[in-house]
Amino acid sequence: MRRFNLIALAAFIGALVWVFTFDSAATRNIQNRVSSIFAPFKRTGAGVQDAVTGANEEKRTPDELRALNEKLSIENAELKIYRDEARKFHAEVNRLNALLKFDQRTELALIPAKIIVRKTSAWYRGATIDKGSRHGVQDGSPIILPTGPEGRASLVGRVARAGDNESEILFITDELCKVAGQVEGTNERGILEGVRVSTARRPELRLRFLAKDAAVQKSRRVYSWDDTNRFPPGLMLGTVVDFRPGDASSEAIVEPAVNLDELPYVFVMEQKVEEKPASPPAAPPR
Amino acid sequence: MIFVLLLFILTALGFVIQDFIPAIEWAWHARIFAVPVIFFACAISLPFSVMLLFAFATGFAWDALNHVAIVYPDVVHAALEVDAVPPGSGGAFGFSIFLYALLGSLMHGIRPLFRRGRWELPVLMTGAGTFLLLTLEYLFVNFRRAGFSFPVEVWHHIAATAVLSMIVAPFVFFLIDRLAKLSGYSIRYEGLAYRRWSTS
Repeated sequence: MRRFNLIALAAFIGALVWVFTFDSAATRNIQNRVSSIFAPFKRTGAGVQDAVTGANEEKRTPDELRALNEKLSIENAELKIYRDEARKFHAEVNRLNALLKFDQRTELALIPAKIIVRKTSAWYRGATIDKGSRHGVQDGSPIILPTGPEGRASLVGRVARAGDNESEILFITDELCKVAGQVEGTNERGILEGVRVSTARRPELRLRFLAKDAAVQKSRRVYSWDDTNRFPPGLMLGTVVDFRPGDASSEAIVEPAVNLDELPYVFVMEQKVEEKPASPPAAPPR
Repeated sequence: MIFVLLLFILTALGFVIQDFIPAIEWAWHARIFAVPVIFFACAISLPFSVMLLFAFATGFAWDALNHVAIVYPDVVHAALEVDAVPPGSGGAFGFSIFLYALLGSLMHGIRPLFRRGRWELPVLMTGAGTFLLLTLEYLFVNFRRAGFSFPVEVWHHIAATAVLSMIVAPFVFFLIDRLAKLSGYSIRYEGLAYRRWSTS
């Protein structure tokens, strides 16, 4: 090997070691910068794709448009109801916080976002959305969509990395997108996660770490639970399709509530946690 | 220099189009892996030192765009409550740089064939390289998530992706060959050299 190649190899190893020493904050900063470089091209690519596939072209008849308008009006009304319910719920949380002398207030808002592109990494299931930290998206924010006849807020996934104008989300079917879940009508709680690899069109989820003597019936719904005030409880996660008792813990197989194949738009649940100062600052001396 | 710049642009273009390549449902959700195919083609046509630079840039950008490492605090809290081990972050930034350099070095070894216009082995090696890349990535994912599982569909997915890479590889080789001619770059071999020792 030539001397120059040896020097290049040594420099490469040095640079690689340097990269391995990056902490998570540095990594996140780099990822945001690189993503912002590629973002305009990806948005353009998404626009071209929409133009080619005709996603933005209107090919509906007036009757179809009328029916669609009616459907959207109903969904809009449902979302308004949901928003009012959420406001009531958070007013209640804030009231209880005040009673418990908890020095923080929470406020929830929905941020509509468009899925720009789905990620192509072989081992991750996720997408890029067109809203970032400038719009109020935070790491870990839940991504929801109303589903079913009652328009229940169902979990699509969670934000893995919020950039300035775009965010990377992980779908609920990804193994890394974990949520604490509870089976309806029971006290059975566990951690819901996707499977590592699945070529199924609609991969199933696993509600793991249930009590070993748990008894979970099929077709029960699974909802999110959280008592740390960091994740909204009561989000629909899926329906139990199978139950497997184990020696140490049991697990339930859950069908996701949302069909992830057809997702042009989603809602990000913005969670603002405002820390109140413990005491008012002293007046500056005159 | 112009050729290297063109290859950088080509690789960047690969990153942009990669996300818009659809998965083929009947082929175990495999898709054409544009970035690795372009990288392997670049590795075979560049000197070793420049190949390392390419491996660094490609691996770095790949991890910057695709690396996922997150631990949700609410899940850690919930895991402790249900007596489960709190989950890890699931990735290490920079691992792709190592993988690209390793596989790029393998590709670099068959450079003389490519120079002579023999594309059969480089095409096969592109498929093998993609297979190895995905296998090593999957092994690393298993290692980081502290649990090994090898369902048969993993191997189907990896093999189908490798075959798709082999199918598109000749087009990328042709494109790089054209770019080399366009920029006046001559693909030379600087690795092993056989020397005839003088007996006199």
